[in-house]
Amino acid sequence: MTRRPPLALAVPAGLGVMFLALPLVGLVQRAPWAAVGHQLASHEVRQALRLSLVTSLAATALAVVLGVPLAWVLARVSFRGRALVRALALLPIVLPPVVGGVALLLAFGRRGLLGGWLAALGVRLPFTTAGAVVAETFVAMPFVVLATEAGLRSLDPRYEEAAATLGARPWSVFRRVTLPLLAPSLGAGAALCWARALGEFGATITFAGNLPGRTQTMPLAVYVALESQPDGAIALSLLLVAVSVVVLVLLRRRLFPA
Amino acid sequence: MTLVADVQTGAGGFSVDAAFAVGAGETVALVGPNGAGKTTLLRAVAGLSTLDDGRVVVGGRVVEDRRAGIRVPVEDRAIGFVFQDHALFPHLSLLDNVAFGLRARGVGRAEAAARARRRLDRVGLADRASDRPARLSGGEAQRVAVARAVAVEPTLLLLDEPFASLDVRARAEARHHLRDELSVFGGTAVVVTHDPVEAMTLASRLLVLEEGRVVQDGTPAAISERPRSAYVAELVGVNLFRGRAHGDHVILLSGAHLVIADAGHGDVLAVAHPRAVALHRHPPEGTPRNVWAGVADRVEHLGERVRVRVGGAVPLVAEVTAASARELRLADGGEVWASLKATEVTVFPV
Amino acid sequence: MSARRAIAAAVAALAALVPACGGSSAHTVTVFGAASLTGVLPELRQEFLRGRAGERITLDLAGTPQLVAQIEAGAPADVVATADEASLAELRARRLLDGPPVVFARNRLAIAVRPGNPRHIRDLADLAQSGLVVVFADARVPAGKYAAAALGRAHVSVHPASLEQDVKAVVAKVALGEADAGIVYVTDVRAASGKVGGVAIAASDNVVARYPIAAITARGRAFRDFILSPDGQRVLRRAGFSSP
Repeated sequence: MTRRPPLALAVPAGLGVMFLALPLVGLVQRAPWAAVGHQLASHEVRQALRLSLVTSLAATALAVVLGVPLAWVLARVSFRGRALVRALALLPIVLPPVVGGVALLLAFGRRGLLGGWLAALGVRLPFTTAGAVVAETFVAMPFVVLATEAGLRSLDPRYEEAAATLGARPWSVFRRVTLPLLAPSLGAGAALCWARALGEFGATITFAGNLPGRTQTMPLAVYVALESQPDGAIALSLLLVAVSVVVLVLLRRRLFPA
Repeated sequence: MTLVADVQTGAGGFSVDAAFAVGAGETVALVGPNGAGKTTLLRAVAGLSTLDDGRVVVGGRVVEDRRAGIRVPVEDRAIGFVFQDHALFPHLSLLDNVAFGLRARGVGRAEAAARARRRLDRVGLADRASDRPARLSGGEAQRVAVARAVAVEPTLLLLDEPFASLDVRARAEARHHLRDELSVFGGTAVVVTHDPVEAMTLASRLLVLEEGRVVQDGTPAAISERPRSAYVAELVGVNLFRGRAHGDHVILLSGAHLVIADAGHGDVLAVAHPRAVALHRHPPEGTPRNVWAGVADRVEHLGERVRVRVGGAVPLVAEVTAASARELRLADGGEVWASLKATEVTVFPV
Repeated sequence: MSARRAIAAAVAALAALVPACGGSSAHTVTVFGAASLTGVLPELRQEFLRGRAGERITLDLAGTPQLVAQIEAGAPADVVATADEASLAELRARRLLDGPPVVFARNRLAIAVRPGNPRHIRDLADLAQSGLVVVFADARVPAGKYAAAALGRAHVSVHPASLEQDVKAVVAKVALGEADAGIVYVTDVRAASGKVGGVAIAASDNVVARYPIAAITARGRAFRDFILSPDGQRVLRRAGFSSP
């Protein structure tokens, strides 16, 4: 650790901090603090907030249920095309969210690849809360896969070997040894996943649409309120920023060890 | 025979091809230089890696046979394994660690806990049953690791350099405990080690592995008498020479001559114990026919005995009393004459 | 190629890109237009630039409220055309316009349906059928306001599946087959013919949308005048807009 950074590094670093901080300062400074409580209590906002919490938590749960096994297979099983599958698992991170939304429509929409089957099962995803969950899961799952795979790779394989020599079957080894030791990485991945799902806009509005109470999550509500009701939009934005900050603070040991 | 193994396995350009057997209740030490394949062999027997070819039979049951397409997974082999660095589950208490195998086999929670507690008591750690492994010293952790492995009463116990990460003092203590544990265990054990003292004290039989092949298999005494390789000679602490015998003398690879009674003919190994080597300040007179000049390369004091490594035409190790060493005024790098009585050298065909 | 030449080439390429970003060049006019003008503005631009070498026009198309918000925040637009008079009246009140807004076209609503009208929708009342997936624009967007007004006139109550951010998104949802019907402008149906079908709305229920245009800077006057000229009006008529 050094106490006196060279000027050539300190100046850009300072600019970087300002670049990131100023928008937040602007937000806090313009916030209608007196009215924030009232804004946050309004029906639309509470509706959007409740919907966001429900969908983001559901999306995180789904991402974990699908993502952890996927990460396990990627980390422990060697098969042809593994690099391709890993790229696929991380694709949503680089895909523009609206593109993701369109792709979801083409897969799960009424006329999509699975449209017929879903309809036969009585399941409709676009324009529904479930659709919002699907959109959020799509964009946020890579965080779970990334963190879990990294955690698995750094796990000393001898613990699982020891468990096997003691007579535990593979599923038992996973449940009683791997998973508990994986918990920190998985927790970090799930937290990032949740934060991403909470902030998702493009894929949600494209795939699930925008209807208060059913699909209008907080980011959509902010966007809609921006022109007509800026105070409400700012209050909601502050709330989202606060949530993100809390997540980062809780994860600081994991993300920035030492 | 509790274990009959014929293992052929290769990983990363280095292969192991070894066959051996271990009888019921026997403890065999698997020794060899670094990279010989000891751990590879052990893991193959345990089922932690797959055989390329060969067969492993444990307790009369074929657990792996490549040609017959049989492969019993690790968890069903009734084998206990103790890893270097113990590999105790960091997220479980000592009690849960030792009880793990029992619970995995369907033993009820209460009973498993009771049995685990008894085991911990035997290793003197019952009062720390709810501690996590991180709070133990290396020696204590290793004891728990052994307790955990034997808790499920395996047919065969495999230990992979169990004391490698311990300091000298902890090692002696751990060795002592393991001896006790093994004698109570009553089962069959294979211990991988590169420490000769460990090998000699724990095992009734030594299996020497070099470059993936079994070089020697026998009791410590038999091996001491007839070491078959430089490593083994070093292991048991004798002088070993290779050469060609011509009746009453042997011409060593270095070109020097060794006069030996009844040397035989052909390629031979000649063994001489360090105590048979006498050291002199000046060229000796008398009967010794094997006399060489040399330089005292290294002088090691082991209590009342002194081991001197003599470099020269015929490099060898001599063992003399401390008093003699003082008389000779031996210091590192000093000139010295070594003699070896022909009758004190054993010769046997390669 | 040596490193130095590569760097020189990169700098030259970047320099060529600079004029393309931002309307800082003296010859580039920035036009802000409502989403429903997406189909017709490029044509208008093409006609306008005929015979005007050296001049360039950039089009920025978005929902009307978004355009208004951006202009209020100082976006570098030279001329703006929206789908309702209230939006430009607001800008006028804030003294952001160069000259008064003038209505340059009118538009009417229509129902967009899937090609072949598989659900047999004949009028607004049919949109209230149960099981039908209907979308229209959010009320803050002119198309959404007009749709609500039309439904009100027809005394029809519809539960939309989604409130889209602009009228083009409504068209897209119907074109993709996700929605059975959407309330859009007649010009949208025309522009998307083949991908959507159209059902007329009774005149008594329909709403007239009046599109105003105003210059924001002196540079924008020429394009504004062109839109109001017979040549510009001809293009608008072709696209389905009615005369102001």
